[in-house]
Amino acid sequence: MASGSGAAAAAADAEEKESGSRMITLTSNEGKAFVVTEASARQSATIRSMVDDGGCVDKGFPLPNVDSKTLARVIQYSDEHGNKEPHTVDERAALAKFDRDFIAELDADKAFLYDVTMAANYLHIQGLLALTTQCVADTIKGKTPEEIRTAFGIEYDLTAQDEKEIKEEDTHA
Amino acid sequence: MAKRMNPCHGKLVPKNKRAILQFDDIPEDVVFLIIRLLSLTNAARVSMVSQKWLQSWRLYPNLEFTSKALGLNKRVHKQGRRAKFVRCVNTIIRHHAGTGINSFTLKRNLNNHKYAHYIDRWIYFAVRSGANELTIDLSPRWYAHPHDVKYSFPSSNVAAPEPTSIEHLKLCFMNLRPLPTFSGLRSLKTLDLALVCITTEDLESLLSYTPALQQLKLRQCPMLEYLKITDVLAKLVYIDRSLLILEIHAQNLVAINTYNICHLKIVLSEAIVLKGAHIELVLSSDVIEYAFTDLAPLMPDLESLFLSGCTEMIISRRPPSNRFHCLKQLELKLQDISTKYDLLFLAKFVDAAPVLEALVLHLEDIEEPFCYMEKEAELRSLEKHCPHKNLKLVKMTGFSAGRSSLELALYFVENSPALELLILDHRLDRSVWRITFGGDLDAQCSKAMRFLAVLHYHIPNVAQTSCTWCELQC
Repeated sequence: MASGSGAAAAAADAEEKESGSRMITLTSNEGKAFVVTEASARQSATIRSMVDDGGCVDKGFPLPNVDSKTLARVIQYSDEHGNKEPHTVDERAALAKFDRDFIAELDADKAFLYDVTMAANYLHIQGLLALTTQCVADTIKGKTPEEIRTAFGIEYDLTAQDEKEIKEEDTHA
Repeated sequence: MAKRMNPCHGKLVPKNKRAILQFDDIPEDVVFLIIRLLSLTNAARVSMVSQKWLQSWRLYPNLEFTSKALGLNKRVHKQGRRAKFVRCVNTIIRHHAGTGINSFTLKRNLNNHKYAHYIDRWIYFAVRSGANELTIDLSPRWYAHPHDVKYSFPSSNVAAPEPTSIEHLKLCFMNLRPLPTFSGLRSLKTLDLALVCITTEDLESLLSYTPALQQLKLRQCPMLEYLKITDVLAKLVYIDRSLLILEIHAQNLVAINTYNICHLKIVLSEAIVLKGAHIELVLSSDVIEYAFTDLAPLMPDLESLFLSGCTEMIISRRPPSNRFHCLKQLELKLQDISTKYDLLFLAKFVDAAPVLEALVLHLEDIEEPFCYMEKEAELRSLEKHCPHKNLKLVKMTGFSAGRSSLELALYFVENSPALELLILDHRLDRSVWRITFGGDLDAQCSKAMRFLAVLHYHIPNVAQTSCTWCELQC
């Protein structure tokens, strides 16, 4: 992954001619360009379909919903998963360890976890979305509704009617 | 609970900080992804967090109804727990959207006529909602006997929906009389019936509608004495108790598991190439004899075999063709081995499997006296005639370090040039439910050490051996 705009893109073009693998430019909502390999970008179903439809590969893809910090982190994930194909047991273990460390860092910063989840959803990166949703689910496990609201800062918006229904439905929460 | 529901949230949400996770902005499909990872209890709790989460609760895909999941604790709910359970399930189902269910599980002793129509209704709900996995277990917690079964499916003549989406069906403790309308189990991959009263005709007709079946498990189904499995392709059959004759004409069958009190007669059509078998014979005469006389000619292509039972430890004269030519993995579990028997005979049995790669022996109830160092010279060794060229792993549990078990272990060490690992464990096999030794760890360790010494005496070039308990190394 290289960051920067024109120079990096030009370098990527050169590399593409040499190695045969295309480079793709992704632009965050702050206008910062990220150059990634096609294999890495194809981790995202959204980008994959745009590339396969013969979209504007040369111009790059603007991602208006993703900021630079989040995009950098998402690219970190898709580089790890897209550029290497794990074959041996050791390689798979290394990838699993990368996933664990990756999610442990996000878990410590819930706001960032939210941003990455939203980006993964927007870009349709299944593996990353599975990781982050599992992390959220793990946080929810064993908590009472109030604790969940506190943990995630959620506004209470249930009406009296909802409450009544819940009460009759649920005897244990 | 009413107190907890009060809108005291204003204090809980830190106003000046950015909300840690803006859950309210999360798109519904992501909420759904999260909620499907939670258990019923946690999903119910999170559904009380806000509107969006309440909506997603209506689509919760893994409905698991057990007393524990519904929070019907014995100490809290002392009376009428069954009625409360039924009410709970009814309410949850009423509020459910009725689509997108992945698994539906009901585990509760509802073995009573008055709940029959509810159970029918729940099963139909699961089927209509497109459940992949359906588990209905009505067995009592402590003692279940098929004579006590009261619920029959279906209990009424209400038109049943076609169960086309069901892939895994597990039923326990009921009478089953499949209606013609409930026979469209086209996607069924695994069928598991335990303590289910179903006639042979009904089961055979049910199986004739399941083209995708891969696994069939029958446990303690009292009405089945004879079963003929025809071209429905089951890849694995697991049969337990009661069945006396099993006739198989399914060409794609690759493995069979049986657990049988009596002598099970298996009839196979010629085209079958059976790769694996797991056979447990209880109270039967001789499992080794059975393997030689029945299994070897019946299943010559076996690659993995598990045998459990008693044996007289006598190998009778047999045609030399009764061998397991392809057997790679053999696991033997022998019970009630008394002192008068000689374990070394097992070497002859293993010789009938020339390409064996892994051998696991579980010796239970062995009462062989401890073998002392002075008697080493008396250890017998069999003639070396056909070494096990492929044998890489030998494991013996319940190893007593008695004379014949020492001899047997030495036999494998001496006759297996490719042996990579020999594990001798004086504990019993893990699946045996009992205390494995009387707490006398030192005595156990000294047994292991003794064997190591014997091993070194006989085979000085064994690279390194160690005792699993005290990590002692020779």
